[in-house]
Amino acid sequence: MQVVTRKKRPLGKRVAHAIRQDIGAWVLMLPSLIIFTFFVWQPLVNGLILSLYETKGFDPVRFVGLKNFLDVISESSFQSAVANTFKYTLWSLVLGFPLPILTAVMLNEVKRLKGFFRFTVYFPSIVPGVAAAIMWELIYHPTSGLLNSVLALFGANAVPWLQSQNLVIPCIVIMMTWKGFGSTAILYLASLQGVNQELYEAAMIDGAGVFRKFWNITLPSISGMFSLMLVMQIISVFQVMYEPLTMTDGGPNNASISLMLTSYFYGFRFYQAGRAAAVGTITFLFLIGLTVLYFHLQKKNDS
Amino acid sequence: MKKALSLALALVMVFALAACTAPAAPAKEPAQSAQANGDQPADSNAVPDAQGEIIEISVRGKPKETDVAGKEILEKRLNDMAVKYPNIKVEVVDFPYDVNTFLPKAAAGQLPTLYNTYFTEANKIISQGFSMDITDLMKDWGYDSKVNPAYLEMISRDGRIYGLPVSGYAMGMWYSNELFKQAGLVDADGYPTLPKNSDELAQMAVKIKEATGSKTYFFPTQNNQGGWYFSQLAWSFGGEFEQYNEDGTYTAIFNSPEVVMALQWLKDMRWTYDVVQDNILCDMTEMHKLFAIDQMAISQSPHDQLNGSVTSYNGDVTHYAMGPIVPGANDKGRSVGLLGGTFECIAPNATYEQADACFKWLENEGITPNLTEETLQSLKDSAKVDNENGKLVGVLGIPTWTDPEYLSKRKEAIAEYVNVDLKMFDPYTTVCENGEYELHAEHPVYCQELYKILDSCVQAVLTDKNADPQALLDKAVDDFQRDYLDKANAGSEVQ
Repeated sequence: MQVVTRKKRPLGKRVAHAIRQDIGAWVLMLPSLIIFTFFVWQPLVNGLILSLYETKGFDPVRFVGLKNFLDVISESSFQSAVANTFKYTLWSLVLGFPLPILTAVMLNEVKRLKGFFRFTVYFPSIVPGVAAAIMWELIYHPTSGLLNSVLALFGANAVPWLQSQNLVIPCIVIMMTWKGFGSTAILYLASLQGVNQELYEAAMIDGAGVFRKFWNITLPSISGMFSLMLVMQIISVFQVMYEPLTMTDGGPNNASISLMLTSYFYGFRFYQAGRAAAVGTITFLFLIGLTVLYFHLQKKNDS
Repeated sequence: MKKALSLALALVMVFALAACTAPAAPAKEPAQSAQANGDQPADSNAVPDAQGEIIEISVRGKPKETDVAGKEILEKRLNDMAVKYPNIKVEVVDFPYDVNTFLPKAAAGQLPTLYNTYFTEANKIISQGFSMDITDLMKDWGYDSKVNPAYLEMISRDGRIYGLPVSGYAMGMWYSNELFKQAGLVDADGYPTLPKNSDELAQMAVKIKEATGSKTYFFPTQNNQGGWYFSQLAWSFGGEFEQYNEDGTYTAIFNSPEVVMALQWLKDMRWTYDVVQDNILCDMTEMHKLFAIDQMAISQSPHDQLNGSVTSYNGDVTHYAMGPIVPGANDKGRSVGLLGGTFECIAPNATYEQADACFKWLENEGITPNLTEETLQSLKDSAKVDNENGKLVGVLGIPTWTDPEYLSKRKEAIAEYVNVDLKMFDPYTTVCENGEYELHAEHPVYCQELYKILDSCVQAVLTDKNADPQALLDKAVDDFQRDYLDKANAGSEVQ
């Protein structure tokens, strides 16, 4: 057997060759690459760099290593922020994860007024975020709010809602779920409509009921979508900021402060961009950790 | 062919993208970028001076489109400026100070040459280098010896001056004359009978609540305002927050019996007397609204905040009254008002000539201790605009300039536009003007951070019936000492 050894070309030439080969594709990708570089990757890297510096405005003035990280981690409100962020995520999984699935299944079964129901479900998603938060703040108002007014009709005592340290996070998560479940439901609906109808017919012949069909056909068919939505929901809820900022300013007594809200306070209330970037980086690391853990568990499960 | 087509398409996309994102010519002045956005700034025309130079400045204070009187006065001031200083080109831009947007604008070099902010922001702005050192200019104009020294101290660092104080206030009490009247708490002339200490205040609050059905005592808890208000409350009980030690370090001391008593008093107002507003998680805008609709009787605030209530929520100017801060009902209780106000800053990248031009513009606006006929007319014009826009005219706080003649001349100038019954504000304005009111500066280090921590304490006692004021303050002292003061004491922190 003859072994042919080819001399490796230098990297620059190989890259140039690869680009020349697919010049059209590269030029097509160029706008996206530019956008990603300037609006995603560059700020990401800049944030990381900024977190290692003492700052003046947004300018790094002195390299301080991990000092910003140690400072923010040692602050008492940081522990509340981490605990609360996990609470937001857990409550959003409890309240917000099943709802779009159930809604999508129901929408899929609707025979009349399909367009109307789809619009109604999607409508909260087109309400601007801060407007939705203010609207829910009014709904939760301790005296003139809709919820307590309804409770008063039945002679029940007013509930403090956002003013209760125990209720504030579930209350905010309900608002977030109301705002976001519609768009997720539409994605699930699209996935449901791709399920092979012959499977349902076969199951019916075999005598399967509604729940059996749902459990054995519908759920496995859209399980891929579950994984994607789960990761996206965790990533999105972990970065919760404007909802508590608008509705409670992190209160009462830091009961609704989140990691990103802490970062916002550092950056815009106290003008400490380095510390704000450090909290952002910590959040980023948490999210990477959670995502890797999730995919690891899924892989284990699949095998 | 396919390859060539895709190449052509891709090139078109790249050019389209470039056209979308390519910046226009770099904006030399913030006002120019405002213009590019279709937001036409008011400006004056200028002709070069003998050296062929035009000095361009951008200044805050562009009136709203609906503010006809304000636009007229601005037009007049721009014309006056053009006549007096033909080589100065002034662009007036919309730049209200906003804590949430200031940093990005400042970092992006988008500050106007002249902008206005609050004393509460002085620490942050000066330490971050967003305000020019104007010591030389202050000396050249002779203002350094004419400004109230208490204000000058608040915007000076290491003997250098970083701003020009333009309006001042001391925190006082707000009362709703309307609700006091309904509860019969007025004297023979119909003016409110004011409480003499915190116990009397609580009793009056209960009495008004019983008579009107409204909650009667307002205390904000968000956006650092809970801490701001609570500092004032604790001082009135004789408490203090930060102690400066001989070795140059600071110690947090706000778990003293006086401060605990103040927090306990606030808790009692909520849970024992049940007079605090229903919506606890709110800031002063809620107070503006409640006072405007006659559903709040007592709170504490500076006089300049009255305009927020009157103009934003259509409050009746005859329904407001003010007095000095009510002392705590303990042996250390005292009537003491937080000293605050606003000051003008010059952007850090301005030249001396531009800064000097800004001082000329301020003089043109009547913001100067030198009351000539022209500057008095300018003050009169400002009062006229405020009057026509429904703002309160006539209630003055702590004077910015020390010359005793200044205040009387100013009062005379604006007299015809006064639109409130000044007797409603006499208890407050008298002590402010005659120097009898004890004034207190803000916390010297980490002021905003301390307010944030105090926000939490205030929220805790107002939302949790079982909250323990002593335990809350003990924890807050530990946190503040460890998180901030110890680091400042070690000399490793920029405040």
